[in-house]
Amino acid sequence: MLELPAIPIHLADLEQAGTVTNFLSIIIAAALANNVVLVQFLGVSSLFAYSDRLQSAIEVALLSFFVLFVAALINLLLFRFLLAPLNLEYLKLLCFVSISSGISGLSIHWIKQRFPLSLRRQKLAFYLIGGNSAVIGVALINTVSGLGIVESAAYSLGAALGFALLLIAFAALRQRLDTTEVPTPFRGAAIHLVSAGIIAMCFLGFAGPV
Amino acid sequence: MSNLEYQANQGASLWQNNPVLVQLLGLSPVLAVSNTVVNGLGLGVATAIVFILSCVTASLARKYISYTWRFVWYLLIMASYTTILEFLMRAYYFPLYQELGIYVPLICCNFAILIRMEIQSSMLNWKLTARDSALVAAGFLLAIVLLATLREFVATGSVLNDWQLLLATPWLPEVNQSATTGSVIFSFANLQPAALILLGLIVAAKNMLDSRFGFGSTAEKETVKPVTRARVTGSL
Repeated sequence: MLELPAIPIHLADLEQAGTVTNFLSIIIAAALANNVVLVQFLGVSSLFAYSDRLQSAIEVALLSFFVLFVAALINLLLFRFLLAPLNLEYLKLLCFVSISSGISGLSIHWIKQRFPLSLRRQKLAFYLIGGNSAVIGVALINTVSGLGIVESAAYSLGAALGFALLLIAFAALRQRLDTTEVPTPFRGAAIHLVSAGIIAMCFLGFAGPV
Repeated sequence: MSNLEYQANQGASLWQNNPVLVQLLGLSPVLAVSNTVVNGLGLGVATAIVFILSCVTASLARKYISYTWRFVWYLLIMASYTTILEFLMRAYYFPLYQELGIYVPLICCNFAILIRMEIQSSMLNWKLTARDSALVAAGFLLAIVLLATLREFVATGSVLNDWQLLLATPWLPEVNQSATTGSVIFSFANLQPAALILLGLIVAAKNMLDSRFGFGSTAEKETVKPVTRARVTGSL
């Protein structure tokens, strides 16, 4: 069984909570060693769906960085101060979904005014960011991980960084992958999956020897 | 039209346009909980139930859903059904629920369901919608069980090691329901990279079978065209 949900590695030393090093280690652990996409498997389908062009992958990565971080923060505050004290935990999924899709809807409204061309190219992708399982998954992990509020915010920032970083890096990798000579059955989806597996091995290496 | 929309518009089918193996949608639960057959089967059946129910509900409530905010409504419908299912699972299948972890609530953000609901907005009849979504959900179930069988067999050399998790709790309270793992032979198969690599091998095997017997979709028959070089400098 995988360790579900995987909690950042350096969290055992919570007595030094509040120091700058602890925040940095949480952010780095969440971005690399516990990468949202390849180690915890949240939002994997967006990794393959949006990475066909580097330009569009950068646009989607920036928007999902924003939506993931802001939605995770608001969901965290909502859960800690409203849902948990009132024993309304069973409503958490509905609240998380409506808040994250509301935030993505508002940011799409802003994009429509500023960058209408990129919205037209990426319409479905932008609309689907609010329902991305990385966005909801980080909010759900924050409810069960047992961290303090500031540490959870640092974890959300690290998770958003890791998601955006991996999306851009994978799009850049795919540009080279699509022009190489690959055996016929592996062309397309199969070689992308295998190379993502090799990247996942590298990310597991950040966590140190098992 | 992006690649995502093009692939999703191909129409429902169990094998040629499988949501996981061809379109690569809804991959996160497939990769994360496919370490044993029981987990894969449990999550696959739960996803299929949510899939069919929410597609039918969306098609019945089509008149009342505003077009601009349709994705929010789709997500809310799915989240409601997922919450109901989560509580039923916690009541009747608690050990399995614990094994699946946060991937049970995450059924509500499965891309395969969302994109299918968007495509089905042109269907008039709820019966058509139910048939279509049942086909796609069966494809999802097929893919997750296939990958889980392969992974568990490679890891432990046997399948269905913890079959007792599939029994509902209230009727068999005395059975010791905890996840037992067989003796692990090849522990790499339990790690995350192995899930991706094995799924890639399954997709490659599917492509090979399709090209051998000729019932593949057109998407993977495209060959890489050699780059034609044009002379752009100097005098012509």
